[in-house]
Amino acid sequence: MPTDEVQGSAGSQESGQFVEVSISTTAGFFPAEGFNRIPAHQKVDVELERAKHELKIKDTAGWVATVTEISGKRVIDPTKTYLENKLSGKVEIDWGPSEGGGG
Amino acid sequence: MHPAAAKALFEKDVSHLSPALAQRRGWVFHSIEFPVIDCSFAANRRTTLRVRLLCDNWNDLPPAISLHAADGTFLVTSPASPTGVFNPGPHPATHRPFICMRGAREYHNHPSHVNDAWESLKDSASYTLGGILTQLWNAWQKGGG
Repeated sequence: MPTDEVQGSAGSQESGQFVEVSISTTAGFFPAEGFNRIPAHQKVDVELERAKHELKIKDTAGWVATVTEISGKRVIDPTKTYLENKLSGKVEIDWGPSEGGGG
Repeated sequence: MHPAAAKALFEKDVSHLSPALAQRRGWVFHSIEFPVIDCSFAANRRTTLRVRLLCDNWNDLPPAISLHAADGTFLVTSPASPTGVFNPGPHPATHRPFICMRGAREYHNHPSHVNDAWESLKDSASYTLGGILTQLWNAWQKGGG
């Protein structure tokens, strides 16, 4: 993987005010191929809602959005912007249900 | 559920469990052929966990889920996780460690949870086969070892 495609990499000044976003779910990818160019100051949940609509996902209550970084998986806050989530460049978001009740 | 209907629903559910998704998430699908999903979760500095979902009678019944080492042998101890999802057991039916989480047959038929009905969950997007796999993966990611 090229170094500029490290998911969720933080703080690159070169990437400007846009990020490129791909969302994976077990109902499909949004966009289906490649990435959408999104203002970095936009809240993450705007794109998640678009994915929910396009992929015809009925309900997403309890779902979590995560990115995978070299240090491991990191949960991001969809109510915050990409910048606030310290995301830049190509952002690959995994979106799906958090583990449910049990125990 | 008629076996043909169960198979059709299974195939609809697994249709998006693609190589691209597997690559992104570190999943390895050893088999996706009705009624079984055999999948490993891998990540840096982690011991691979392999789960096998037996989806007979899907989705009148949730999948029966067994826990395996990378080579396919049954785990005799549960993976370390703070979530409570990986129960050391033994489960009264399988006599093995088991998945103690809504969406697993071993949870819903466990004497402690028989009143937590699968019927109320099965139409949720969180409890498709991909949704259940994702929940297991998220629980595993929170653990160590």
